[in-house]
Amino acid sequence: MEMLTVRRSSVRLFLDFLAPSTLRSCSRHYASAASVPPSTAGTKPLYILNKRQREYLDSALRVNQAGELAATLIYTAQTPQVVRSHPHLRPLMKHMYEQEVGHLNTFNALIAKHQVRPTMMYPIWEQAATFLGWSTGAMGREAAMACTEAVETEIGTHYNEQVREILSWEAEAERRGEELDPELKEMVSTFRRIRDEELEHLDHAVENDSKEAKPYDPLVNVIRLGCRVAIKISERV
Amino acid sequence: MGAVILARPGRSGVLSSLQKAATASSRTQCRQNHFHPPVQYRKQELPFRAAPTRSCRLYHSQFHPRAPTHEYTNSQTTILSAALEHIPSHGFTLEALTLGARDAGFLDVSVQLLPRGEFDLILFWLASRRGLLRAKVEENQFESLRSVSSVEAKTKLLILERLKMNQDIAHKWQDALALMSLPSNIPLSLSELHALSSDILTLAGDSAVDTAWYTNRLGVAAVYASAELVMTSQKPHADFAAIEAFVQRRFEDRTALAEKITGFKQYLGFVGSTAIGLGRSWGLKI
Repeated sequence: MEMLTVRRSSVRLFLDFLAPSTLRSCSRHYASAASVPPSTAGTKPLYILNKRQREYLDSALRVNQAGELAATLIYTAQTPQVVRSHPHLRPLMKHMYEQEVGHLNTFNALIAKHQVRPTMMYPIWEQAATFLGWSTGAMGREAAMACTEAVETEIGTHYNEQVREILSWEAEAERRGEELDPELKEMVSTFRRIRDEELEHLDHAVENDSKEAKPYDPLVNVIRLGCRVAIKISERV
Repeated sequence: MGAVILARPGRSGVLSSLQKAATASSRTQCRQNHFHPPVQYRKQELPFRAAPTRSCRLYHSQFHPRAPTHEYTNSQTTILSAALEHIPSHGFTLEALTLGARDAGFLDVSVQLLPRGEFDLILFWLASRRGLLRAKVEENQFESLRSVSSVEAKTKLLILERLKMNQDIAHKWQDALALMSLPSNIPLSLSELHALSSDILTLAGDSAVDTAWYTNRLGVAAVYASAELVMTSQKPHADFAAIEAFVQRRFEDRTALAEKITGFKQYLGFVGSTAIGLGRSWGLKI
């Protein structure tokens, strides 16, 4: 028995992560005091995410990155054509584009930080978004704004669902006398800020006659359906 | 045998005093660190996971570290870790597992705890070396890694470091490769290769968030697997410089290929923009 104990401790350096969770001491790699910054160590216990919740965050970050990539490329393709015929829209298009680039950079950083796999469809979404932006831009200002309206409606709804989901975890944590970790709290506020900015883009689109696009309903519905399909695919692939 | 109880699949065993102590200490430590205490099993049940699970990369943070790729029970871990010492002399065989079980104070028949037999030993070897590599970097025991700044140089150093861990068992590795190439074992073998390449790139500080995420992992896996194959064809304890040179050449090939692809993309871009310019000059509203 003595020998067994000695053997176990001698290989602990690299075999701890292989032991089952019941017998694994809270080592550096898994749920340790070192994982928790000193500032949070004295307060409520932290709410630990289960596998389903981690999968949800995984797919949420992947979809958000893909969505922001698409939005950035749509504006990139639309801007030259819209601005050529409507120079007064240059500041608005520039403002919306810069915000989208900021969102994309935010999600790129989150993807890298949380070691999340980006979507396999990345190159396909790049081509699809560029084509969508270019084609709606060629159809005129109203169609370009209708495209923005459709995309931002779907993206805004999707962010709302994500915020609601994470807030439900927070409510569950409070019921259990625990709290969400600072990273998740920061993530919720980031999602909220980005959602509000996306809905601001939606308002700009409506103000700039998106409803006047010909044909409005088929165009918006097709784009929204495409967005929903892209979201579903990116969640999994 | 003493307090060590042999737990067979399908039978209920009693938790050994070691396991009770480990569970108790784990429980108190977890409570101190604000984490949920682990699931308490009934005294008659031993937590038994028959097979390692396929790796799945989920959301990871300092507050929610990633779960281990392969989970083994305490008995399995003890037998397998003891068996590692017999690999250089006996290879990845049932004999090495039996000797490991004996060393750990188990009966010879306890190798039945490992449903995949020799393949479990191979997986354990791969996963434990990966863990050792990670521990080396995270605990700042890797001096040469701090002297380089580029991700590519770090990746190369990490690949070489991982290959060095195979030096003692290189002469037995062909048998392991044969076992890993069996159709039923291919998914887990590839999963382990992906986990290694992913860990190497993460430790090297790779922050690709686009298609490069996939190509980088594919590239590292290809370089590592081919270097491993070259190692098996060498004489036992041959000079490692040949492997280093081989890895260096593979990295040069990667760079050359990347440059060719970039050049081709630029060419397509120029052709496209020229075509658009021509179209506009002909009056097309592009």
